[in-house]
Amino acid sequence: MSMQQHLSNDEVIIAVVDPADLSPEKREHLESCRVCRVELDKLDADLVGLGETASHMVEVPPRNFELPGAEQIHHELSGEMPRRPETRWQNWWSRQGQLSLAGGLAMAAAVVLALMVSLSPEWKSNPPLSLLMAQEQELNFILAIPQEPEPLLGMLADASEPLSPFHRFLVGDDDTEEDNEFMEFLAPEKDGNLTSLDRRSVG
Amino acid sequence: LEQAANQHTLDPDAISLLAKKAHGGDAAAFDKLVNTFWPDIYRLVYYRVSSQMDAEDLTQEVFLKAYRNIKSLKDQERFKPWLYSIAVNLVKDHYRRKNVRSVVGGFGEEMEAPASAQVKLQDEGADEKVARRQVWAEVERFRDSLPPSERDVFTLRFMDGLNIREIAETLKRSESAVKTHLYRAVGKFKKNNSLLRILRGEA
Repeated sequence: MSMQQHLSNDEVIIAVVDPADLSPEKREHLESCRVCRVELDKLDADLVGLGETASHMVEVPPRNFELPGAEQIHHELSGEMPRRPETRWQNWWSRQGQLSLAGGLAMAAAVVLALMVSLSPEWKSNPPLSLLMAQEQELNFILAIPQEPEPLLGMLADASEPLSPFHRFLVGDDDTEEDNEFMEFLAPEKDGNLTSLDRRSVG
Repeated sequence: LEQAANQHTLDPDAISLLAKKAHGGDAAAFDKLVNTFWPDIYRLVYYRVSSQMDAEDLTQEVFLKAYRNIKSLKDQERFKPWLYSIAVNLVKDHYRRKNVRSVVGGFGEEMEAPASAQVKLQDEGADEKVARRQVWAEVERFRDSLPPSERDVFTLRFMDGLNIREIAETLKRSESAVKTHLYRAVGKFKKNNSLLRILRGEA
């Protein structure tokens, strides 16, 4: 490689990253060529400057924790793990998350139970004992209701009984023969192919 | 060794020695490793989460996780990439959790000022603060413009200061794959004139 022919841009980069990757001929050129050396040193200085600048910019706080004690080392080596100090966000989670987690779990359990009850045919046909007990309590409650308004129900039962002949006379409801014919007209009884009206007209 | 650990500077042999002792159950040795790597791991996390509060929590989590799992580290000479891989993976977990929380509804997550407003700004004049914010915003803009694979290796190499072998071990990829991503990312960095001008102090 002649002194007039310098390293390419890629070769300068290779020289910065790992000079061993250059061919011996190019390494030899780099040793003796001032132009290539300046180019290489400039890039090298920029990269070193980047590291120094970054390092200088970040203020490192003092160490903020101690290792678990010597007795815990023994536990660790025997397989027992010491309790880890909680980080700041873990502290926050343990404070904020516990209540909401418990509430969420309770709601999820209620939804799952409701779905199982409403969707499962086996559940419907064979409900659990607790559900049967709840249903029985509900039935007892319903059966207990009519014991109080018994007089009202008695009055309703009396009202539904047939009227006596005297009362039927009073309300003009004594013509039972006409009523029977009217009912036959509305809903004739079947007797073979003839209705009662047909039989009467034939007879 | 203790003095060096407190000064956050340890050579690889000293780190391996401490890692071996920690692997054997020596809590004091692990404590020194924490002191050594605390600033680097904090910066690594901060570069990625851009939040001081999250960076502190995650850095603490990195060391506790490493401490609990130190027995699983088979090659103690690889302590550094092993520790960095824990950090990188916890940052990814952090983003997964954050995404889940944002989908669920945020849980009243405390909002922080943007990263550009949180870099080291104490004891600085107004002009210097503005300049720092501009630099940081430009660095972040460049990193955000890279595909995730290129961003990972570029940040580990030039901001976190790992070498190619350590990056490969941290990300569990081949060295050639790491280099390929680095070539592309450095090529884009070299063309980013606005960032280069800021880093060179020309803007």
